[in-house]
Amino acid sequence: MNSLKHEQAVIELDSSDPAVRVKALRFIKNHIIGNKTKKDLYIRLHVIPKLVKFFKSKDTVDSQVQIQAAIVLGSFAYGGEENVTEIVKHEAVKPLLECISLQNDPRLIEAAARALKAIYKCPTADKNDIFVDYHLRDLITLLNPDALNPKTDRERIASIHTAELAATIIARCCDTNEQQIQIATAGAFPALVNLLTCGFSKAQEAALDALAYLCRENPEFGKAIVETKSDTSDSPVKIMLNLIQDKSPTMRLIAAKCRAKAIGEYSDDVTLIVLPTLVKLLDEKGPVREEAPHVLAYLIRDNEELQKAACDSDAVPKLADFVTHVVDQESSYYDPVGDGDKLKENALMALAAISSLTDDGRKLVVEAKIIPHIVAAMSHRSYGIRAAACQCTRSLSRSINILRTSLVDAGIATPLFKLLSDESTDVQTTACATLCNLVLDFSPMKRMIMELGGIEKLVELVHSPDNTLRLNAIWALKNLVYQAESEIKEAVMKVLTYQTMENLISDQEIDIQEQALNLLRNLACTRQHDIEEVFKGLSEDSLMTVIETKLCWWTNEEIIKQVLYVINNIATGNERHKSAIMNRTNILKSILSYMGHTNPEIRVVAMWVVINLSWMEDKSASSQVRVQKLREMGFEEKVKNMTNDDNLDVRERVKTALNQFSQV
Amino acid sequence: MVEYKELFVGTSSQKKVVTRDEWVKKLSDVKIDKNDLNKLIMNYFVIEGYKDAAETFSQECGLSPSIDVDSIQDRMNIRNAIQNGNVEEAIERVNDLNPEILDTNPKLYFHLQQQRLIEYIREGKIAEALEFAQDELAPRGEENPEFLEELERTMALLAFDDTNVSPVGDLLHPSQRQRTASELNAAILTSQSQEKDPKLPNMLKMLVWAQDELEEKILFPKLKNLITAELVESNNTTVNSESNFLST
Repeated sequence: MNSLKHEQAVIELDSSDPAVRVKALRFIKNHIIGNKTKKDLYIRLHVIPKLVKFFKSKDTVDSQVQIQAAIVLGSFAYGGEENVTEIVKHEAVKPLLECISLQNDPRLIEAAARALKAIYKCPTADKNDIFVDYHLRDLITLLNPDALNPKTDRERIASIHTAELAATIIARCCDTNEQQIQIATAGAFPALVNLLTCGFSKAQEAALDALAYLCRENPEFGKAIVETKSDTSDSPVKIMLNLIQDKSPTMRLIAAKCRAKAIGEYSDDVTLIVLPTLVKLLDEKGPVREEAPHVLAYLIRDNEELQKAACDSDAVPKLADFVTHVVDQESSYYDPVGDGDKLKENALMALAAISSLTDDGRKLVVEAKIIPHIVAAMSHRSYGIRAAACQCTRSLSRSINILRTSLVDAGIATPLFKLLSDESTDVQTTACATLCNLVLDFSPMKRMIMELGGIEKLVELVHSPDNTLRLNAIWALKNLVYQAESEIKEAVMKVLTYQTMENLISDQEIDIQEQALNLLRNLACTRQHDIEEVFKGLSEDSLMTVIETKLCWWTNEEIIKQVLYVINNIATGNERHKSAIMNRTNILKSILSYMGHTNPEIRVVAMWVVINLSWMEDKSASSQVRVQKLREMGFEEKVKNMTNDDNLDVRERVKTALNQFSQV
Repeated sequence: MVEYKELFVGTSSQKKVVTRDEWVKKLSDVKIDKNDLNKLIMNYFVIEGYKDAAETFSQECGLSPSIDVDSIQDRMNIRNAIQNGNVEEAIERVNDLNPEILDTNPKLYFHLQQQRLIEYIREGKIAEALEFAQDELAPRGEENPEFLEELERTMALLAFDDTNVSPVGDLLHPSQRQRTASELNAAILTSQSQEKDPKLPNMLKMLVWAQDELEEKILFPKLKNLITAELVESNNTTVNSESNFLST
């Protein structure tokens, strides 16, 4: 390619005549817009540092030069991540931020804002510069189209466009909670809510997007947005509902997404308007159809009512169709048509959400006959689809019936097990979470997973560097030994080792400690033989020390509960086992104190411990001594005082305990 | 004899007949707000970019255009540039108007570049056409394989000296320029948060469809010519309707 004229243009950028510079800039601009090849060419000709220089000199005559230079920089940023890296490397961001300061020419503000929007589209661009000086304040002021005092129609339209750009920049700069807080504190909410009423769809869409990102994973902000006062008499919810019923499907989707994130206090419009709108959007084409299931999944994920409503609609057959009939398309660099993979993934996630809390939902999904497709999706090339397939399975496996029939018939155990070794940690974690349900005692797949080497694999994952994966792995092991035969318990502990379990009980993650204690509880459950194994594995001394430490030095309620269950299970053992507990005064004193804990669940377990410790198999001397000691420590008195406890469960245990004490 | 007549009567009296007078009365009984009609027309002028017509019409009926006339002028200039084969000028103008449009619409950009190639070929500037194809269009194909098919079609223009017999000769038709101009016009409108589809053509399509649907149930004077709006009666005698069937 003859690049002579392009090299010439770059040279002319150095001219002392601003007219020549402007001409060269426009030449470059008209060649690079839309044209990746030319963008790359000019970058190789080192044009970017020259452009940045225009902002560093204090030449006020050259506003046209700066405007064109800003436009050119913005265009380069549309050329992909490498281009943005170049731009950032040459320190273009700070000067561009200076340009959006309100005293500048509105055309310069607009051009610079456009460039920043394109730069911030790239996820690796550093967003911190916005939060320095007055830039954030300027951005928020620009959200108001009147801030630049537009006089003509043209100026008005340009102001609204600048407001749209400012909203998009804000949307792209709230990755972290701290950023969300800073932006909200600077007054973004009222400004964005007002922009929602400007009547220009692109600006309204940008404002909706920004609001959705500002309350992402932040329900407190969701509430704040919904309670913001707008300049019109309408509430933000009413404004959003108007937009949810707009004639443009894109607007409806973005407005629904915004409302789904900014829920605040739950109200009827969510079930009656937002949900049906999302279901109808499944009939659209392209990117709207692709994203609608994702928003739907988010909306209904922890809400049984909404899931029921979704079941009543025709969402499931539509979503099932996306899973079974979508043709896998190759996605291109620009991807205007939409991504077949993403649609499938989002549809699977929506189906996982619909079937997560109700049996009705699970039944509908099974009746849609997509389980074979879910199994197939577990070996899809896209890791998002593999993970979504696991989520679906996990939801379905919460129905024992479906677990024993449809999932077994589909042969889900083997492909699911394979995913424990997947290259993606996300997939491993989700597969592991799914396995938790499949290894419970009543599951027909438990044997199969063990035969595939499930115990070894899970133990391996317990040592993974990823905490969520570790948690799921230990959870699965805990479920595996729940009410299991002794051989299975022994098989697990042979691989895991009691030492590892002890380490996990002191893990830095509390969730993991809790599961490890629960594992110990399950091991010591059901039979004296099993309790004996635990005593052998840990040694009585270690075991009791671990228990004592946890019981006496920890206040976390979940931990306390699990430890008490462990003690309780040991207390159901033989005399030797009971003595082990009786010999530890500190443990007994703790139990006594926990009998008065505010949490009724803890009081109940403590009562069970007392019941089991005061149980007399025979009227042997040793057992009588035991009960007497409990009495002397004040247990009987304490139990008597609990006769009128608030909790029914507790009161029932009290009766049993008092009855036992009365036998001595 | 009797049975033959009854047979005729049986097959042809299924449809009710509406006379011309009845139909015209029904039409005039429907109340339509003149303002709505004016809005429809203004909507068409504004979107398609007929600025002068929009201004004149605005003065005549007192309806102000839904958007500022300057922006209609901008779009008109751009459309005219393409209709005159001056694609480079159109690109410069749209980049001045909004530099994001072509950066975010690869298909549109490709069609504009394709149009430039077509114009080179139309003017017989074959050497420039080949250089342009190599410099500008080949990279588009590399960046985006979905354009390759259209690109090959366009290059095929160079293979035939006599474009009248070329299978891709339609690319040299004025309608191709029209298509490119409309695509660009629509993209500009979208970027300005404006509607890009005028309502009038759709309404006419609906009218034709409605007439066809209705015709299956009754016989009535149809609008056959959308330009003259002439009502043409359908024959309502049994013999005639029989023969109509026979003649088709």
